[in-house]
Amino acid sequence: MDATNLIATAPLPILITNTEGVITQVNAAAEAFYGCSAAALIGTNIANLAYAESRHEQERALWRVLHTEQAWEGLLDYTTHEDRPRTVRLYLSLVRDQVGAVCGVAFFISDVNEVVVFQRTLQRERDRLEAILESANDAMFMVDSDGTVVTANLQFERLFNLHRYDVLEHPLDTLVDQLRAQPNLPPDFANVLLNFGSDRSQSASYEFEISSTPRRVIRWYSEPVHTYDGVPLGRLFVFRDATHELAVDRTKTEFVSLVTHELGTPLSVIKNAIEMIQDDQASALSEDGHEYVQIIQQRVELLETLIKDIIALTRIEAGRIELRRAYHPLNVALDEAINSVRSITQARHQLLEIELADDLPLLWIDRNRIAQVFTNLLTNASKYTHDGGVLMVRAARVDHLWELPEDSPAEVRLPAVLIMVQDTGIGIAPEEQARIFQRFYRAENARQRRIQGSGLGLTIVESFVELHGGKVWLRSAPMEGSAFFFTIPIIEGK
Amino acid sequence: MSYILLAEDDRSLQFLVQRKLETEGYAVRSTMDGTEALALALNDRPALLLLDIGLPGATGFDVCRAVKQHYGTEAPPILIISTNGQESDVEAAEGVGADDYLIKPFSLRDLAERVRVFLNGAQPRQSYSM
Repeated sequence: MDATNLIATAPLPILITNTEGVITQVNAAAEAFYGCSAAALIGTNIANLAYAESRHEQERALWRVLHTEQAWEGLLDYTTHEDRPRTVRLYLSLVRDQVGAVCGVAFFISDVNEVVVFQRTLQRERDRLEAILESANDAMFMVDSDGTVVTANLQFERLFNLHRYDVLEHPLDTLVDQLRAQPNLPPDFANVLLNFGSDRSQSASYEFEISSTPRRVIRWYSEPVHTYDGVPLGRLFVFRDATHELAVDRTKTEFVSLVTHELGTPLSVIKNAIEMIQDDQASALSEDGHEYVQIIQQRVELLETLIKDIIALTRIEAGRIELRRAYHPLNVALDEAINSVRSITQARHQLLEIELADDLPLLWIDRNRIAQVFTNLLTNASKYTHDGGVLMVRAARVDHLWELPEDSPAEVRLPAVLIMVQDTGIGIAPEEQARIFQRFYRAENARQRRIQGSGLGLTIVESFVELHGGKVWLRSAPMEGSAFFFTIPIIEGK
Repeated sequence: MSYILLAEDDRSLQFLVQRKLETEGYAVRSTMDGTEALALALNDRPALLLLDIGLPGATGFDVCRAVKQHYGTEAPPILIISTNGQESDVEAAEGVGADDYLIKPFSLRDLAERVRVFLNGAQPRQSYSM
């Protein structure tokens, strides 16, 4: 076998120099790599081929190989015909003559430029991501699918007063133990974190307080992380300081509260004065006079409903609704609602039919909230029903699933009182039925007919009913009227 | 029969509530001042007290607490008048021993109904027609 031929046909560029570094032999692959003929390369010092900044290193490598008589391997930048440095992996080994004396050095060149460029791009990408994580205002850390902490940023260190290198590459348990040792964190926080360690799918958000001065509120969430094609990578935890946000929220709520507070007394006076005029048998109002009073009364009632809705909404938004429950008969709440919509239904000559079953138990309710549920449902029923139409309220006790209407949601808690508020109005299109409980949402036909409304009523109905453990749903078809159902679970003897 | 004591510092509202209760057949004595309300309540033992919260002199809460302490189990029923949106008021009303509360804007018909229940011990009606 002819070694010279092997070198000539090798796919790797190979150059051989004498002990001075002067090229004595090259193969075809080397000619292609350098972009010049063998004649041009032979007789040139190999030093000239290295990229300026690598020249010194190559000389040292050559010197080392010659003096230690050992092979050398390393990365160098070479100048090629492209006139740009290409990174190569260089293998140097001694060449001996027939008697074994050192007569030169063989340069085996492996072009790894693509790999190196790729690695550099990756590194840059990683540095960039790290920089983003570092400059984020949120504290973050991530565990991989084995539950090992793989990323943590600067804010994470600040928030939890930890060094990330104490937790990186450690299991989540190590981090949890360190958090447990911190007295200003709530004790259950660590447990919640730990529960996520073994979970791959759940997303959730939470809030906790750090007992410091001033007190800080941290909102956090955890999300599973997947690659584009769905391979699980682990789980990300993000923590945000919501202290300021909550303070702003509180200011807003306080402002709304102040405004509505100031409106309460004048509105009360107007409303009560109207009632006195209406109830005063001796007052000699003309027919027109009665009409005028009724107009004022209707608007006052709408204003009252609107104010109540705004207050309710700010509380719902702030998550600060507390039910003031006591045992009441359902009609205590219904009565209050009927009183506040009476002028509206009367003005439109609508008939209100009430049918309450005889066996209704006392209900564990916040009567003002349930009254507001009735008021909002009845106001809607009246608004969307033509003059002279019929509104119905029915209530019955339900102990068994089979007693519920077929279209009831699955999660209704029993036993309960089932209440239906039905109208004979314009109805709601099927595609809109899911959205009408959203804040500010108004049905298309309601807007077309210019029926006034804030779009808050049903949001509040849903929220209040659910706070009582009940469910609300509807059955409706355009031009056939709507029936709203809601349940209030029966809670016996407290 | 002893009277209903109404303490409300909004003159118009006071006038309207007093008239309503009078047309329902109750004797009513009104004041706009908390201190005066307290003195009357401790002296006369009214049949029922209707107290606004923000009164000059002493708040409705102060009056309520003092009256309930003074009369113990013999104390007259007390209704506190609060303003919409002030849930803390309602909690406080319960804290000082109030029997019920009304939230402004309230209906005079509703007020009269509640007063009737307290004074006659009657049950609220069970069925409705309009």
